[in-house]
Amino acid sequence: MLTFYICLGAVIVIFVLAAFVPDVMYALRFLFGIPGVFVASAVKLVTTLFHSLGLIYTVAKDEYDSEESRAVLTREDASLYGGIDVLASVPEIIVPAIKKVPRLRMTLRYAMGIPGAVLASVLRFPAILINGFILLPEAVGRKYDDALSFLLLSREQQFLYKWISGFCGIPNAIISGAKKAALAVWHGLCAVYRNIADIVITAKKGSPSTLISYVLMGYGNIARGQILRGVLFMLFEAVFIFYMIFAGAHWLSYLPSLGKQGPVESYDFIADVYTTTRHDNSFKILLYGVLTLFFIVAFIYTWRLNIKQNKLLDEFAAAGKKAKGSKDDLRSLVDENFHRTLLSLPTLGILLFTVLPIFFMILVAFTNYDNLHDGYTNALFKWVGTSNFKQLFSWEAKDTKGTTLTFSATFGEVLSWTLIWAFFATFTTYFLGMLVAMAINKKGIRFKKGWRTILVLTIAIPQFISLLYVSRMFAYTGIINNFLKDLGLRKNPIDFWGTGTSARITAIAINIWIGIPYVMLITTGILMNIPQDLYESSRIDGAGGWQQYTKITLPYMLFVTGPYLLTSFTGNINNFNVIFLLTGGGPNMTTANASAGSIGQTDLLITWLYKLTTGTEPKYYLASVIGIMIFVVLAIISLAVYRMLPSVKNEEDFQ
Amino acid sequence: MASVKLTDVKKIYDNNVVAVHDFNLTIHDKEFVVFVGPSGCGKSTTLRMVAGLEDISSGTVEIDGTVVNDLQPKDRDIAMVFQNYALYPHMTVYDNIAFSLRLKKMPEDEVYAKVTEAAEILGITDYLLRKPRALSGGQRQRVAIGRAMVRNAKVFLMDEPLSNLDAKLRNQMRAEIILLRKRLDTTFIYVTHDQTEAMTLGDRIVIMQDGYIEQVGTPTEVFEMPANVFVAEFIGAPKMNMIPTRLEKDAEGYFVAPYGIKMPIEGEKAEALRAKSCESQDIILGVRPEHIVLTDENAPGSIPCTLEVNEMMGSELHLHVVTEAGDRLIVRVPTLALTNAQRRDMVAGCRLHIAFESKVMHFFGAESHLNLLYEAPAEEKEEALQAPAPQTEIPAPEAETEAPAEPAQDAQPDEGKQD
Amino acid sequence: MNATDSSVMKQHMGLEKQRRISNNVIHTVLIIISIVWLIPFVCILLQSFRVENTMEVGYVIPHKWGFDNYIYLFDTNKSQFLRWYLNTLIIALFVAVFQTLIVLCMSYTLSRFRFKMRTPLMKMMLVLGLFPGMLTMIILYTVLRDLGLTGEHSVPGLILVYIASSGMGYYVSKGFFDTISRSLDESARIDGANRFKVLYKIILPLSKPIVIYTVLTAFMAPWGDYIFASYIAHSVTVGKNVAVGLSSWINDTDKLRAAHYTHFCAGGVLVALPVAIIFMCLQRYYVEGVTSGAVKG
Repeated sequence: MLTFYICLGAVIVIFVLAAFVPDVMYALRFLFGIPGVFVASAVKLVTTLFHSLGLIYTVAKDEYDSEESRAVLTREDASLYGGIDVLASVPEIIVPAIKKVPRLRMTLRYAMGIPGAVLASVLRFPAILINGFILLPEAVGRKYDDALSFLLLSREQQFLYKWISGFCGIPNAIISGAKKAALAVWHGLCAVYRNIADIVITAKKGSPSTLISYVLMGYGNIARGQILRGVLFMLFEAVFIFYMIFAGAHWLSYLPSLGKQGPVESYDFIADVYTTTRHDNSFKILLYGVLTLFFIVAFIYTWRLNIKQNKLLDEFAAAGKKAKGSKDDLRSLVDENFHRTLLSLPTLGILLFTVLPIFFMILVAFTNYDNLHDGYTNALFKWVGTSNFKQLFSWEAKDTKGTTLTFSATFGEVLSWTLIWAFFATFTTYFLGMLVAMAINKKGIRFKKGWRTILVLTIAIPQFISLLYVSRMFAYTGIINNFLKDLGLRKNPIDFWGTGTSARITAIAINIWIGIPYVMLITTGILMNIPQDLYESSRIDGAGGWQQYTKITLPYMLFVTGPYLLTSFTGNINNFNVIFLLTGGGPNMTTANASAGSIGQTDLLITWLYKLTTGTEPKYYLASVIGIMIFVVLAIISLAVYRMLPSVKNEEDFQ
Repeated sequence: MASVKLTDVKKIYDNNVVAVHDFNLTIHDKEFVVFVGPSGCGKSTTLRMVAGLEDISSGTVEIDGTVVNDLQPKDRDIAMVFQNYALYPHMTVYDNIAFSLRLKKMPEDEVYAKVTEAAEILGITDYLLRKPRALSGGQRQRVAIGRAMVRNAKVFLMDEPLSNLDAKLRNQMRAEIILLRKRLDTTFIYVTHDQTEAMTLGDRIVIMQDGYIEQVGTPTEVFEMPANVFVAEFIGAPKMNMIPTRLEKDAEGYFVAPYGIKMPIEGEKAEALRAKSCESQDIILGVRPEHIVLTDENAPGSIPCTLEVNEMMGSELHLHVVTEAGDRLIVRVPTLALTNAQRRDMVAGCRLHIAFESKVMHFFGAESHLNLLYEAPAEEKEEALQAPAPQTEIPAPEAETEAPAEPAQDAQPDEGKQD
Repeated sequence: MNATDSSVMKQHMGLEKQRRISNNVIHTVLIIISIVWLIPFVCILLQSFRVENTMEVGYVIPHKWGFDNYIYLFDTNKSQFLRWYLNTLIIALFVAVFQTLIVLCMSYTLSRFRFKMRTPLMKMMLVLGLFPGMLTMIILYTVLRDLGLTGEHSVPGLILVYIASSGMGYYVSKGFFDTISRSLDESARIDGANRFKVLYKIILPLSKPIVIYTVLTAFMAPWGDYIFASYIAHSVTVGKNVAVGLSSWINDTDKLRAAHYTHFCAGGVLVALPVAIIFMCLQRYYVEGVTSGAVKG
């Protein structure tokens, strides 16, 4: 308490002193001479600060703008007021000036020609940045959301404003997404409750044959003439029970431990050999355990279906209606239930060959399954919790020498190269491909079909042939280097695949060779579909060729091929063929973390994954983690882009 | 050749949008019924539910006394003509028409006889071997009709069959549909958004809006006695003029006074009002453009106004006029009723005087928008009585528009309380 | 009058000239592009006829011409190329048939039927598609190995792997089916066809382009597939497809690589020729397919 009062007192004293500073200064000078002046100056500095703090408020209120009111102030305060006033007006001058930068560019260009334009372009970057900062609070406050005020902004600002608003919308989107997810969970719970309630009610009201169906599936159907359905239900139940007793229960009970007894090595004295007795197989336990879980879910679903149908049959009986017989059921398979017939095989294939394996591999990411723990021949593998993921996100070096990088750094490098690759691979081919398509489409160009056919060869010929061959062409002793030497252009061969940077650049360049024809094919049709009257009308409005390209062709193409760009980008993230066949991932990444396996500088996540699952020391758990990370990256990108693309939002719009 | 009965038919889409609310209608054998309304009113959805192309969310559809809710379209014995014709592009005209017959496993010689007969009637014999691609719009339309014709179905459904044709062809085909109907002599359900088609083709017209039936009646009934403002404005072109005003009752009888000009109500209308014992109340006064006449300044009950636009339609003039109160009205005047000099003077900005008699007036409640004199046909009332329960489910604000079938008295006690 | 006419003429001539110049520039660029695009293929072709040695050399035009490399490929005592070729051809034919059937079933259903599980199914496939397909190979390899469908008997195993999940590639053909007016189906159903007949009699005859596109892509994929084949065939020579087999000739780190260089070129020519010819013939359908796929997303 006492300290508070002392502080308060000190503040009051300083303020009182501050009010009389000039006088105090004189007094001190008279009293102490030069040292007094120093003290007084120090005090003055502090008090000036206080004064100006107090004055900022009054400046903001324009309190002393008139001459008369200014006269009330001390000379010092008056000058402070003036100074602050000038400072306060700086933003007011700068902001409109910066907002006018686009016009500045035109001015500079007229004044200094091309150099001026270049200078202006350089100036533009900070201007855009500053504009962005200025617009940030306004975008947060949604200041220009109505059309009229939005139109007042310069085009650049409109663009920035849209982007900033888009980013500002992300939290909202996340919240609404979370809300939706919560709601979905809630609906799910409600559905479970409804189902259970329905099961209980059906049991209470049900006819005897319905009640028997609770235990013996399909009995009610057979009893009421639906022989086919009933028999299928019963068969399914029989298979399920049989499987559970003879296999399912066993696998399921081992699932939490992934095996109790690993391989045991024993020494046979007589034969003088070591023999290994193998017991549990973690891989099979996990696989069949998951399969059993799937089977149980399927059984519960079928059982529920069986009860639902019996309930329906009860209702039919009460209403005096006749239930559909086996014949109707069969007939409906080519009519109202035709979709079931058509979908059964494809979905079964997807279920067994995609869903189950992916589920399995996600589980593997939580184990230590690798070549040292292969689950059967050398050691069981175990659940390890989230430690594999922790490794991915821990920035602490495991190695004490300090020479090796952490695993997360290695992962970060591969991820960033993957993204850089995807970006360049997508956009270089996109723009160059479009250019080629436009060149071929141009009026007066001959042999249109010929050019296209030549380009399309790279699609027609299997990539492994062309890519492997081109990879050899660019080798240290390859044709290209020889050719350059023969021409006398270079004495020493260029090691295209030798260093990380040159290998990356070469890969992107060769990818252009591979990628242009695809884009050319796709864009040719779309380019021709652009309504010609758009060009005619723009020509009448005074647009030249370049303007037509940037104002009509490009926006149209970007809009129409937006979905293609997305799939192309995600496809390039997973572009195994080009990287693997060209560089094989090399050259080696010398700084890679020891646990990352043999990884090269051009390895994408996907080729890394491949290397982790093949070779002499496979690390399956790590491959699973990488696979999941690829999924996460792709999901984030796709979601972000989907939010922005108007053309993919509503698929019914196309119908 | 069958009756179609829809009872409490309702359509709710997956996104919880209700397209059709409790649709009740009995279509008699050999009747030609037209569903008409603005786009999105649920008329096509209703037709498609009858056809079996849309699931019925609740209620029943009966054809010839059997409930067909769970029947596939092919088992309902119906024929349908689609707006875009839906001709199979890979088949010739002959194959298109023969398609359904062949599916029925009809012998080829019978197929030949039936298809050529239909082609003869429709005048497309020359095109039988062409693919639909090579036909004009009108010819495609005929093929589509022919395809439906040969089936001898119980019910003939047509979903905006003339919308894709140009105006001239549409008139011609309309006449042909009338002839076709005479020849086929079966039950027709015809969907259109065009009130002219509805008026000219239908025995009865079902006017729909936002999934509700606004009125069911013969063309004459809906024209002369529209159940509410919506029907009044929808039927007839140009649309009916609506003047907000008051209905007053004094010792001498009823009168209205739009724009301060007192107009006594006489004859039939006065009797009808008396029979309904209408009180003084705010109303919307409806007058059709063709029922307004030009008069001179001194004539009793003449309304002064200014001409804004004069549309010369050939046989008649459409005069868009503005009253002194700023209301816009349309007046339809036969060209021959005016002298050349009068017509020459009719330029934008000139002063005109208009008047109308009490026998052409329509009275609608200002709040309810219901016709004060409307009385639902007996049959419809009966249907409404049969299914009172679903109507209580409908939320209050919609009840207003839902209730066109109810007699106007229902609205009156409310009005009285306000007074 | 005359003066203005001539100035217009001049302007016209100017425009014409400008256009001619720019077209010439474009022609030159296109010629350069074509050369760049063709060089690798021409090199492969030339080197496949080289006889003097089979190693990688710095020059392109053979010093001595001959068919030795092709003869080597067809000599079953020396190389397994014919076996690889046959493997791939069988796989490609089976995949072309079954994948097309599955894709058409899936896409037609998703385009035409509205059932409860439709959207969840499509969403599920979208999410599954974001996982790298390679991930599934670890387990599929083990399972197929236990079933005896790897290594030597990799052909049926590979066919199974290719077609099992092919339903996920429904997008392009669904886009095509979406463009066929649904009133055709409805009309046929009213005319008395059941759903199966609608598909068989109305939709399929109209779907020739997309069927060809699907067959074409399904047929071509196995020829170029390296990933799955390298898993399933593992290191058993007779089980390889052309991609894995030929790349083992050029990509091995041991000395053999150099000795098989021209063999690789000859093999490449033999693989590329039929595939490229088929592709070129059906190019129109391919373009239609990719374009619609790209636009619809």
